[in-house]
Amino acid sequence: MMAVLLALLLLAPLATALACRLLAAPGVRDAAHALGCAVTWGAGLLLAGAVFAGNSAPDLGDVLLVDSLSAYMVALVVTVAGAAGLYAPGYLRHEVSHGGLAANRIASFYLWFHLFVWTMLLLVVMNNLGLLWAAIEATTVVSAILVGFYQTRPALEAAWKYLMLCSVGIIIALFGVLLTYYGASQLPGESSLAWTDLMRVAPQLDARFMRLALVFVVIGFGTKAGLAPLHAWLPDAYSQAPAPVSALLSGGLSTCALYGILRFAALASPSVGPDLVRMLLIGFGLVSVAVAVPFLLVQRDIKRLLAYSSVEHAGVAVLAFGIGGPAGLYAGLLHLLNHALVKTLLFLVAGRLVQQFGTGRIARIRGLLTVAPITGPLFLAGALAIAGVPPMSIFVSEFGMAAAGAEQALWLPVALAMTLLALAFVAIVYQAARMAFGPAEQAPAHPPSPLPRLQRVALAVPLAGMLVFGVAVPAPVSQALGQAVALLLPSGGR
Amino acid sequence: MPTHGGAMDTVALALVAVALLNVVERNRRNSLALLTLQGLLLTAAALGSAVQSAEAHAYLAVLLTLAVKVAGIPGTLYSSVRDVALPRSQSLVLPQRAVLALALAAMLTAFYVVGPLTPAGLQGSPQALPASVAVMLLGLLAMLVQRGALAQVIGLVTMENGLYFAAVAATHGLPFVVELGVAVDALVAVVVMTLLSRRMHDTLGTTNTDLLRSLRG
Repeated sequence: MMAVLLALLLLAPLATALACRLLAAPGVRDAAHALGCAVTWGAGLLLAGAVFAGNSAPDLGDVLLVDSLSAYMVALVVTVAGAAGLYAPGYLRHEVSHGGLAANRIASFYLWFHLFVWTMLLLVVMNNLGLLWAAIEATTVVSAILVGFYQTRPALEAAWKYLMLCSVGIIIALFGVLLTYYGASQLPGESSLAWTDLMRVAPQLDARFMRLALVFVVIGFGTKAGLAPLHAWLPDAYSQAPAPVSALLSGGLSTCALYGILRFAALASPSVGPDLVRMLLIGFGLVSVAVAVPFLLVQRDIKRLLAYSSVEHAGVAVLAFGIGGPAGLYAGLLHLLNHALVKTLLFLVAGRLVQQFGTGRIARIRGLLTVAPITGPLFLAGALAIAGVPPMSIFVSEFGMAAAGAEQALWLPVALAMTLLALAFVAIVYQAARMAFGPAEQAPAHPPSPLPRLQRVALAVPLAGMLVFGVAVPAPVSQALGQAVALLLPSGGR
Repeated sequence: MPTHGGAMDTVALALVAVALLNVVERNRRNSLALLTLQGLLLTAAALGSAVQSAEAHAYLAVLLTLAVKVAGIPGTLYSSVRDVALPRSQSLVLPQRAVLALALAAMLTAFYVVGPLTPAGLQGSPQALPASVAVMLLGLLAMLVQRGALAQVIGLVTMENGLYFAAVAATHGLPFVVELGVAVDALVAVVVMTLLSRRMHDTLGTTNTDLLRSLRG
């Protein structure tokens, strides 16, 4: 049963990509795209549910691995991809009618969209660290095409910068993978790059290799995740990409890169000891939050605002991972999900606002609550959530991170993080309030048409997640998180 | 008859020399020729490693290196240059003397800083790891000081080649399935980069990446 679901999960995006490229009639193509999104989503959630229910990974050999952590990531990726995918047809129709996008390019958007989702799903079910690396590299290549999709000067510039910087980063990460392999080949027996095999011998791995490997992997995958100071490409890419792609990049891809770091950190820490892991991750986490704050405060573009907020939240997640222990890992993993849901909602709503106002400039977007009766309040709610207003989901996981730090007496990092998060809070609430309240200075360029039905579904799911996770983490999710955390602690693995 | 380690060291130093030439080479055709030469040196290294380990998959890796590093990547880049009218050469961001000084610093760093840090117990040649780090740093330097999109891609591939050499020289390569994944990725990445630089050329009328400075803040 699990094998069938896994096969379906990995084949559905590929089949949909091909179908969307080949089908000529726009109506049929849109239907095929929506169906493909739904099938991928369903297969991913069912697979994750089956893994959690059994609390065991099916034996898939050296190459593939669907343990509880992978299943958690699969559920996260298919949810972000499902919401972004169902939102896309309405968004693209508007781009064709008002934005000057050629109608015949929609097919190639769907093609690359589904390939992008496919590479992310491959990434999170890889057991072999070399292939995990290859999947991350593949996500870069595929998503760069989507970043440059509009083929305008700024879009091409953003895509080129993204491709170059992330390729350099990823090469550095491959050096880390190579060093891990050196380390493993020193041990007696068949050397392997499978995470499950390596975890079994993790305490015996040569610390000198693993120390270097960890540093290189954190830098390399950190570039993809958008950790400061490696984030130079990120605001450009997120702001120039079509809105559904921005949601996938922020909610999906950045999360996947952090997942790669997490697997490596778990592998390295038994041999190198917890100090280096902690110092690296807490360091990157604090710097990321600190770098994001001033840019949030003075930001003039709505999508760049959300992009810097993604840098901030990638920082919060690695901070929690750095604090570590069951509580820290739990908070970090929960934060990945909370951020992915809220940021997906925000990027999709922002995409619609940009279409409605004909600009992304914050100064020109005014009086959202009156001008945009549905998306305006949604944007405000999402912005408050991402800022960390209780009782919304982001607050819960940020609080969990702080509590985990306090439990381990990491007072200085926690105090710094809380101060910086308070500043980020002020910046985001200030920016959102500027857009939400007050009279509209000028009528929107394109008066709001009713939200297409698929877009309502696309927005309702992350919204529901945002509200529910603020009140209480649902028991099945909490249990799944517990299983995933157990894998990452010493004596985890299979 | 040189030992295996000695032959590997020779290839290592040749790779460093070629990467150094690439940093300051301003003519596109010559840069591509140098990149192809890197591919040939890597193939030689893979062949040496295959002969020594005498495993079937190591010979497959030799063929893979030949296909991707000698034929695929330089070929793709060459065809992209052939179809597009571009100035034959472009100036460097810094004066050549300064670039050479930086290149020297990169190589010294690799050999005198990374060399002693290299964990003991690596098989193969003692120079392999520092040399591959030197090639990676020189590739990075080429990306920083060269102006054209093509030159940046060449710098990136040079970085990759340095890493690939480290894999071949010090562990007899990664597991074959990983090498296959890495090689296919590298080729696809270069194809996409070529595609993107073609679009930049069509839209902006240039592939001089210096002009890509409009996004700020």
